[in-house]
Amino acid sequence: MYSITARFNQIVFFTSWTLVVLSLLNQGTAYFFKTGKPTVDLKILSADKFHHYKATYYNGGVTDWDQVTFKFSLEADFEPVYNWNLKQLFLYVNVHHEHQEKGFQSDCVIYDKIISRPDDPSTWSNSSKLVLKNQRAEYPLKDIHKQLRNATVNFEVWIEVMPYVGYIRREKLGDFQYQMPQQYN
Amino acid sequence: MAEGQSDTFWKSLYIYFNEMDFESQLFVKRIYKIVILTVAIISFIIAFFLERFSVCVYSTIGASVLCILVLAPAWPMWKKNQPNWQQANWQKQK
Repeated sequence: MYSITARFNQIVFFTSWTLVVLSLLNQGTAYFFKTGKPTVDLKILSADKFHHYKATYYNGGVTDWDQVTFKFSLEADFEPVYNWNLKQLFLYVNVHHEHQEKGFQSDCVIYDKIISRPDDPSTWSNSSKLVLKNQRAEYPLKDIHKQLRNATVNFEVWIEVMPYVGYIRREKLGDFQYQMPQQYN
Repeated sequence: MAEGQSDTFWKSLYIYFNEMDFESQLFVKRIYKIVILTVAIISFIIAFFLERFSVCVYSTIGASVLCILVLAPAWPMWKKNQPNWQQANWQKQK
């Protein structure tokens, strides 16, 4: 305490220590709040532009694949996850499908969205619902093995919970099956 | 510092804000911890019921900035209890 730098140093690092302890308490008490599982409902409205695509490389090689763009509607309620430690949610829709003959699986994300936490807790029950009507998927589903006709695909809705202090965790909210069309359209 | 040497303006300003009484140093050492801890605990409880952690962080940082501005430099209020220095004796010791 004998010089100005010593006093400045002691005050600054004491404040840092209290902020560390308060952040750990913040993360610890968040478990006493609700950390339930949100409800979600997904309906696939249409599978558009389901074609067999072909492309030529500049050096002469040819590649071809199946491609489809989906349209869906999604309803979700995130109020069971909102607590004071939550910063934002990352919602994404994943398509999982298994090749029957060859026995391997593939995953493809077709839509994602960032949901920020609304600032005022008194409005959480009003603004926690997400409704997407006739939403076109951002990324198409491609299959280089051309096995998509008449295949059974699984639409999974995942959520990534990002807190202010603590670990980031992922949860699968729901699983919805869909039968692809028999022919290209 | 020998007689006849003069300080520049910035160096003498630094020396002015650097030197603080021993009594004030004890006081400052006790009080900054009490102030920051009190503000941190009360704002944490308030933020818990408002469900916004940013209230707690901003008020703790604000209290620490206030402490730095008031307690770290040696303002005149911290120079009131000077110890009794002896007279300077510039003759050489035999």
